[in-house]
Amino acid sequence: MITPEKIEEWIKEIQARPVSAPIILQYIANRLRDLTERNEQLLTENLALLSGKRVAEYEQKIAHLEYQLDLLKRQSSGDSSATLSERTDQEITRAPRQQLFNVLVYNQYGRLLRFEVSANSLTGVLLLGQIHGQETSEAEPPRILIVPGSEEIMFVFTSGRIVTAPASVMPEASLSRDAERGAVHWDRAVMPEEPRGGERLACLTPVSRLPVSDYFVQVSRRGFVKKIRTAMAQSILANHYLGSGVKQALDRTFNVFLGGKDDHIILVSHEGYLLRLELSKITSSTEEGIRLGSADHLAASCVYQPGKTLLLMTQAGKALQLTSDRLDAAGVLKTKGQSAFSAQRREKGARLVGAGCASEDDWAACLHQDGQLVLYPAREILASGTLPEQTDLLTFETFSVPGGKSRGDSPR
Amino acid sequence: MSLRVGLDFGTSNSGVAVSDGAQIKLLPIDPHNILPEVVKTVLYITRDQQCYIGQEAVELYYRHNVNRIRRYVKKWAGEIDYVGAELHYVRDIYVYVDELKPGRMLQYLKSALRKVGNARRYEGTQVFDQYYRVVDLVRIYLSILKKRAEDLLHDEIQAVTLGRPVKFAETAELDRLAEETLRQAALEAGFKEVSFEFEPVAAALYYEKKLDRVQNILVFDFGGGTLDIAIMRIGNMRQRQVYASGGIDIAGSDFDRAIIQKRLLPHFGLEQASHHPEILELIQAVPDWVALPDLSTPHNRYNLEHAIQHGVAPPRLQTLQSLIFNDLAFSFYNQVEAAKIALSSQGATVIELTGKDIHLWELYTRYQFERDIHEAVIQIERVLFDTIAASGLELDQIDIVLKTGGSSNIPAFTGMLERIFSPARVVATNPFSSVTAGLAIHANELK
Repeated sequence: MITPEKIEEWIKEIQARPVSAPIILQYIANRLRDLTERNEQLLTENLALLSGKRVAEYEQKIAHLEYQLDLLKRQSSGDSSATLSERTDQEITRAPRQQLFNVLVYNQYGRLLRFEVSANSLTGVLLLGQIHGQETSEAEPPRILIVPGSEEIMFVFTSGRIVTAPASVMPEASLSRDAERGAVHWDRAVMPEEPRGGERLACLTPVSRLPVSDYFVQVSRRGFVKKIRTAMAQSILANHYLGSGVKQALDRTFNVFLGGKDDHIILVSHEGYLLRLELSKITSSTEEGIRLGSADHLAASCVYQPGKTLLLMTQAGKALQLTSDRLDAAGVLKTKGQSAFSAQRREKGARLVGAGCASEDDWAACLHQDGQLVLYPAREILASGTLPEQTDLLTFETFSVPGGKSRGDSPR
Repeated sequence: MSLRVGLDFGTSNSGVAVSDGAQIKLLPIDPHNILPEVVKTVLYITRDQQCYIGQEAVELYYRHNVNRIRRYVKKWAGEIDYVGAELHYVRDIYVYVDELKPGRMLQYLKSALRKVGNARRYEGTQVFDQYYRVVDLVRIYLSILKKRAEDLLHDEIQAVTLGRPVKFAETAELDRLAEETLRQAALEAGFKEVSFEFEPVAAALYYEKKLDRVQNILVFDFGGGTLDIAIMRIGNMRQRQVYASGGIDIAGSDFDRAIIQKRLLPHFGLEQASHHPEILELIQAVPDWVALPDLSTPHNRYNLEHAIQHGVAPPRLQTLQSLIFNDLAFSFYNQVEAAKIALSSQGATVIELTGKDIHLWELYTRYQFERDIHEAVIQIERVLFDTIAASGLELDQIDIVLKTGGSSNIPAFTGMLERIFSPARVVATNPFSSVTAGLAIHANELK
């Protein structure tokens, strides 16, 4: 506090010893600068209080925390009570859930196949099944998601609509499988949430890490990105609406995933371009992240995991590996990104079908053109640079195994 | 080899030095301190009777006490006899003792020596389940110093020259008793041979080496705990004579307290809390560095939060709360001391403490500091003239004024001495080590 008496005393010091004047002036100037900055902060805060913005923010925070608490309660007890009632005795007496994970294969029509896999069974290349009845060539290829048994899944539709459901409630594909041939047909896949008129299923997003994430990251097929604060999760989930995140008429939602404020994201295009982008540089409004060619679209998007190798997979099963030193972080949005392979290869028809971060202890899930769904050790792909199977690929995804040595302790 | 050292057992700071006749080596006896050659004269005894001195003791005391759990139990302390004309009754006295208190901090050990055998006697104190006499407390402190010095010198110390004031106490009997207690403590600490030298004489010894004639000298030894003035004749070892000595219990730590009381307590709501005695009590305890950690009780936290909620100077009481409960006391006192030191060389400084809920800023000038210690300057000037009068010398018969001790650098006192004696006659020595160095010279001369 500065009183008139004190000011008087400072002046007397200067009168008694003029040499003290510069230092006193310097101290007061520094103080004035600090106070001005502080005053500006307080004025901003005051405006936020008066406008009711702060109250709304706190209400949202409270709602978000309540949702997180609810989610954690459900996770700690395994599943929701509704799910428990639906589970059969046979399911309950199986191996402990934490050692099981789900491989979910889904298509844009909302059909989903769930394959339950024990972590102990992952000793080498594992054929999960043969999926028949692929859709026509114009359709988007099916996508793969690998999640723990207790994961909560958010279904994101191209209209911006969302629905959540535990992964474990979906019937396992093995129940509808042709026992002799290990085959399963898309016609017999479940449809947990049917797409409504005009909309398609854009992606499935695991949301158990919502309490420890800062943002939803929404990516469109044409490379547009936006981020949404997870503080708004309660309102988003209650309203079943996230938004489509698209700006162009022919564009549609491609992927939604969770990220922290310091994370980097990776966008990979079908024609072989990729962009590494700091999440902090992405805005809350939809902006063009990567500038794609007129016929190009995204093939993969994910959060970059430092220390791991980015594996890019071509449709022919050739793996391209990029370590962090070869991944340029883009300074601005709307750039073409770096090329994963040469223009000559692109002209000859090389295309990317998927990408993911992997270390030697991780795994990869691949859906081949002939319908084979196979899990490969990432170690083998990293060592050989190619998949052992010679058939073309439709979809590629990487994941960590629970209890594995890699950083991720659960399938992502 | 018989190793001999000089040991300055000061009221607030101590030091150890060794001399081989050619060179004097001040031992870095307290590696935790800003000046390792100076060790604070404080002793911290923990519940399990572990003893610590110097900066280590201070840091441990803060670490043990800030935000600790307390449990007060009622204990019988004694009884008081009430005697009237036809009435006599006895009343039991109880005190509330903190059962979980981790240790006890003891300071002003040297002052305790003056009170041995005094009417206001101080014979010792109970520390948890053990009683320590004054001689025990001093012995523990000296033995730790001795051990540290031996570790630095890689040799056993046989003999010590201890500094002592010209007058320990008012009467010759009490003076002798104080010296005997100090001697006994030194012997019990393991020194085989103990000698004494007057502190002002020690301070002048180094200066005396440069003299080629006999001079009358006034030693102005102004440290952290006391001011000691001595007027004596030096220049020839055989003709050394102390004409008079005097002193006063005003020194550096009092100035720190004055700064806090006059300039910083308003930041903690001193004026606004005048009608809230329980809060006022907390604010008034801030200048006492030993008392502050003891304030971090749940009861005080409740009182502060209650007052803040009821609008009693909320930002200022928040600052007080932060000081007490956020382990900032140590930084706070260091800031105050640093500001005082800075004002010896510049006209203004800033006392600033920033942390959670605390944004203390005070521009402090030398003019303000001199106003705040004005009373002390007057008292010291009076003591100075009284001592000169007691010496029987006129002002112009004093050839040199030798100032030593950290507080002797304060411009107000330098100015006072220069005004009285003329600048040419005022000489400064190393403020923190001249007494210790002189005692080392004396110890070496006894070989």
